[in-house]
Amino acid sequence: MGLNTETINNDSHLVISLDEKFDFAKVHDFRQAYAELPASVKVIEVNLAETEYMDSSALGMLLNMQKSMAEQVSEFKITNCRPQVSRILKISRFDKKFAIS
Amino acid sequence: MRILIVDDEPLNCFLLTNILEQEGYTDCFEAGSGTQALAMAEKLRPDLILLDVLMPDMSGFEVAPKLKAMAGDNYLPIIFITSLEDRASLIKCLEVGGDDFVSKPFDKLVLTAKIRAHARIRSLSIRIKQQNEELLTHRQLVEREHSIVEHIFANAIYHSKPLASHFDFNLSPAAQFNGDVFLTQESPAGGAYYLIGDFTGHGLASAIGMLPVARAFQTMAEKGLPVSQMARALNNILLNLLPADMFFAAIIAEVDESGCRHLVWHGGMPQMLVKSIDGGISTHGSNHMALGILDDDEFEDRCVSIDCNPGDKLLLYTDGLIEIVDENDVMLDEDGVVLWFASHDFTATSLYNKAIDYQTQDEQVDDITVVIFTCEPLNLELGPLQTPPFPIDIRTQLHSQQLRRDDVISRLVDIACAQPEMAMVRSKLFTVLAELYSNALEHGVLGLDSGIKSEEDGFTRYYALREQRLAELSEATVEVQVLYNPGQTFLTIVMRYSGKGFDLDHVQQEADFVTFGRGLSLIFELSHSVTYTEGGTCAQVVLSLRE
Repeated sequence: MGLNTETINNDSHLVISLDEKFDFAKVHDFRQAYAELPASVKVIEVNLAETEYMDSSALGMLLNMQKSMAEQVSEFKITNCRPQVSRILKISRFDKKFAIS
Repeated sequence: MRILIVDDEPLNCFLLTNILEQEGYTDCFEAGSGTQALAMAEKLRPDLILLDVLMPDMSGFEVAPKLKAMAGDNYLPIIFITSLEDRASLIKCLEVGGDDFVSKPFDKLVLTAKIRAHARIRSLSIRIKQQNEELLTHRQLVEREHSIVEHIFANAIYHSKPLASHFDFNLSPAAQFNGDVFLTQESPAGGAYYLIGDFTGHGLASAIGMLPVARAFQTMAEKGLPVSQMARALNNILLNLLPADMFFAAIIAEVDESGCRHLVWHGGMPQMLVKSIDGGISTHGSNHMALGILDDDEFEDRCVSIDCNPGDKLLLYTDGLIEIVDENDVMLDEDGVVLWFASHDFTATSLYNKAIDYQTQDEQVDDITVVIFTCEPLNLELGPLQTPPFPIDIRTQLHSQQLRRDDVISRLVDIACAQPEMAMVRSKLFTVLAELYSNALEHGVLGLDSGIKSEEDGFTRYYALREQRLAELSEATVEVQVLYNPGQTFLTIVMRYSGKGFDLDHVQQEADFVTFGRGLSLIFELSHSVTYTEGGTCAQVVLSLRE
């Protein structure tokens, strides 16, 4: 619902894909998306190809994920951002903590 | 079957009429001279003429060519009736336009057999003439229809000049109509969308699908929809429209204003090539089935992003290019295109010409489209700002019942953006409204402390607490206003709430970025101005309509 997860590359890479809205209504689902991950996951990618709307709680969720997974995961990526979304990430200096493309 | 008997000897006429009547030919007329024969033929339009050779006023040899001329394209059989027996006369009968001859005295069986044979040829000739006329009419109709369709196709595809200057493209259909499509359109955000596609087959039947595709592409591009949604929508349109054995392979992409970031949905097309300035080639193959095949629930709309550097060249093409064969029947193939593209700086046209030189067949078998894009800033001048023609004056008071919903912001955005001119600010408006609303609801109304978020597992606890307090909430209001007057280039948003006021000065005195709050900094960055009044319970934000 509003959010899809899949693991690729022999379970080493988790992709979380959001739908058009990434806001506080996704707090629970987003937390679940990386709960109980297999230890093999070393990369987490948040795919925002479809996301048009975003608020600061989404930023909070991303930071929260990074904080709680930093020991296991070596790379956090935010991919396929649309211009509006990449602007918000830029304003919030997220490029310092995430690989954004 | 109407027969005209021409003989100056009344007895002969009488005899012939009699014979013919016995055989069932009752529509017979008699002419006593050549002159009379011509006059009667003109009026009666006979199907066959029995013509005497020797007549006082005008001989049969003179009459025959005149009768033939009168009949025009239709075969009018003329059978000479003659008592002459020398070969020269008989040959002359045929040379002047006669089709046959019978000798006097008449052999009834031979005469009627010949009449039947010539009648068959005449009816055949009439049928052919009719069919020719029908064919001609049909051809004229088709030509007219094609010119109308060409006109419609020409108008369906529009490339704006500033955008088209970034794409070097060559479309070469195998027939009059092109089953290949290339579309471009500016995005509201300053980037652009492009689509290259290929319908099964070629010619008009393939080209026709282009119309709904072009229309939907333009509409969705104007709204700035994501590529994944475009692909899904086009798939649904084509699934309903195309017969089962027809589909549409396509690459749909959005490029940002730098010209370097391409977000691509690739379904069933040959691989895309990217050539960097140093000549290195990377390939990007198809990850999906073509459009118009899969049901919506099977359809995959995942896109990939291709990040390029300024000066990189992208090559996109339809399979008509790789399927050309040389004299040894060897197909050019995707690898062949890679070698070509790596070895030389082609333009779309020179690459097409190389392909035409490569192949030995005279005729182009399939439509061929070649598109080359050079990565550089698009510098598209945003057109004059399209502002909504109608004023906006929305005031809505939300009570606890509404505040408990989690679609408050989407609903407000939908209401405020009912006019299409608002498409460009939708995303920005969503973020600003969401931040104002979170501040109003979470801190003002619910009295939540953001500090919780930084505690161990505080994030989840914060939102659990939010949910709990919302459920218990009895009396509270958040009032939202969105105001706009035609002619302005900005919106005014006012959000007023019951509860504890928001102390902007206090927050600003703490001055550093972290405590400033990510939400608040977003509001400040995205808005033209922000003011808090009424003891911090009323926020007023001015938002530019420009992206």
